[in-house]
Amino acid sequence: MNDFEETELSDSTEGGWRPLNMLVAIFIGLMMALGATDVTLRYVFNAPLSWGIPVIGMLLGLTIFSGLINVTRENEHITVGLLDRFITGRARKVQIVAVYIVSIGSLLFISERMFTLTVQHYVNRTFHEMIDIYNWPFTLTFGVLTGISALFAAWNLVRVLKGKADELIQPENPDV
Amino acid sequence: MFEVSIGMVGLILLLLARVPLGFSMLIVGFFGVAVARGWSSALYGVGTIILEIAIAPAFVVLPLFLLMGAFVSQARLSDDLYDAAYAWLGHLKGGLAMSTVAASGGFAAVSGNSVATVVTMARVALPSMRRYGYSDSLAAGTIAAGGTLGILIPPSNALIVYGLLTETDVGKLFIAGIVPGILTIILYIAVVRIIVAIRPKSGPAGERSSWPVRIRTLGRVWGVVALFLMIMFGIMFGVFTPSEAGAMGALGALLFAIGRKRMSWRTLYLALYDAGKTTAMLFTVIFGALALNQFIQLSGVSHVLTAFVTDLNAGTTVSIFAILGILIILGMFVEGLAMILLVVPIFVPIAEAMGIDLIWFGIFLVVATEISLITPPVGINVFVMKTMLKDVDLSTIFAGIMPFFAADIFRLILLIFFPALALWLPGLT
Repeated sequence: MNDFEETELSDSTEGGWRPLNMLVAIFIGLMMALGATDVTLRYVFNAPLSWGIPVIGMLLGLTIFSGLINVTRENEHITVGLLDRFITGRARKVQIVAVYIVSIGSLLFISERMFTLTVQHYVNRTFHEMIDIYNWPFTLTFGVLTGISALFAAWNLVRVLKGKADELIQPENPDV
Repeated sequence: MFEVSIGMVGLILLLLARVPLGFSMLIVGFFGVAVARGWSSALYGVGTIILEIAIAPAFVVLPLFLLMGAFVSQARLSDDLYDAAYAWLGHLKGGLAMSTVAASGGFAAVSGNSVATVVTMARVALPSMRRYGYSDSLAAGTIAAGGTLGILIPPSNALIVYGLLTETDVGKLFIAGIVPGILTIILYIAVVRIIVAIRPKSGPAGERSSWPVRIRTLGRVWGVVALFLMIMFGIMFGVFTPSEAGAMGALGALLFAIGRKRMSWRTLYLALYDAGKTTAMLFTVIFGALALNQFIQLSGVSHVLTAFVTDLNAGTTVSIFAILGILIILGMFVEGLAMILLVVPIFVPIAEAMGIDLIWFGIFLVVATEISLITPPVGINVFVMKTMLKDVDLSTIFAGIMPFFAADIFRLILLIFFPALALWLPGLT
């Protein structure tokens, strides 16, 4: 099972995925900056940002769905690896393939839901409930980002099927 | 009830097959709602719940505290905490182990995470303990158990997730975690004292530090104290909402790391990236947990279970012990946040129906979850220790953990019989 490992910061940012990784870093960094600015303006100038809270909410969504791409690409979804040590060889490969198929299906389903909501929001011209911005560009972005996550899961599946992704087949905690 | 039983069996099978936890719960939740209310309800419900959570300002609290933890790790506050604890306790028998517990508590108070605490403390404390000839079981047991403090001492990620799922005040949960957290540190230090009293060679005394050194080391931990106090007092006195406290805490940790010349552009970028990725990882599971929650609510199973518990006429205390038994058994196979996300939809309605305070129940649940981090066969803290102590058997590490496990059970019993341990402090605000 994976938890939070901020101490051993991953080095994956050096790969060809830097723009994707930058996106996640920028969104969460903006969230912090905006939150701290809002508090400071409220207490120092008695003038909080009227649009601060909803925009921070939107940034949360962008962080989640752009981060989802990286989590999927690096195969770091939270799992319960209880039987990992007992499943080896061909059975292990079959298990991984099945898990990827379920994961791709789940991601495509979320993506489809976001696209459906996009259509509804676009047709009805709905605004965010706190500020005057349309909802549909955000749901559309979330749908696209989740779709990209599904593509990365599919890419990992292809690598597993071609036998080019041994690191995805190894059980967790191999030292134990 | 039948649909839920089928759903739970399906969930267990998906989890055992290693399908990601979030997707497993999402699938079971979606099909469950479809069976209970029809496909259109299920389709609408899943999409809406994901969107609502993804842009909810209240949920911003989680990534911001994750970010604070990432910055704190970069600032290497753990080294200073350990030095200070060692200066004050190191000369006692078992002093290095006690220092590790105290420093783990301090680090947990600003990192909010268990694995991070274990990894960091192992890096800082393990070399000293080995140099002084500490037994492997005591050294490993202390670090693994000390790491569990990360999940309870505020600002704890586990308490945030519980608060968000149950719509309980996260600020009050933080405040409620303080006394049980301090109690844990005291109990763990007492465990170390007992172990070295029985087996003195397992934890020899270190060097005694002079008073000027002690004072100087205390001066270096002001950053941790300041951050913790700013967050806790800010929330307690209504200066900040928990989300705002997260933003200010993250900014404070960042400025502190910059001030100590421990933050380059690259480390800033990596800290932001890792916190963002962890946010995505956790929210995927939160989406699934809330979809599953919809199904459980619609199925009425919580009413059935509540009626069952009420019909047993066993009283609240017996019911709590029954829940504790289930949590400890479940904790052997599922752990950490995953356990909280799994059990909240089932147990919280029961606790509510029984009139149990949800702040207290949150602390109880998180303490039980702490135990899951060190129980065999799937204790993540133990595995982390094992990867850092390759020459030590897993059985030795588990043997070292057992006394701390006993202390944890004792603490839970105290919490059950003295709920004020958790409720007194939030009651003052």
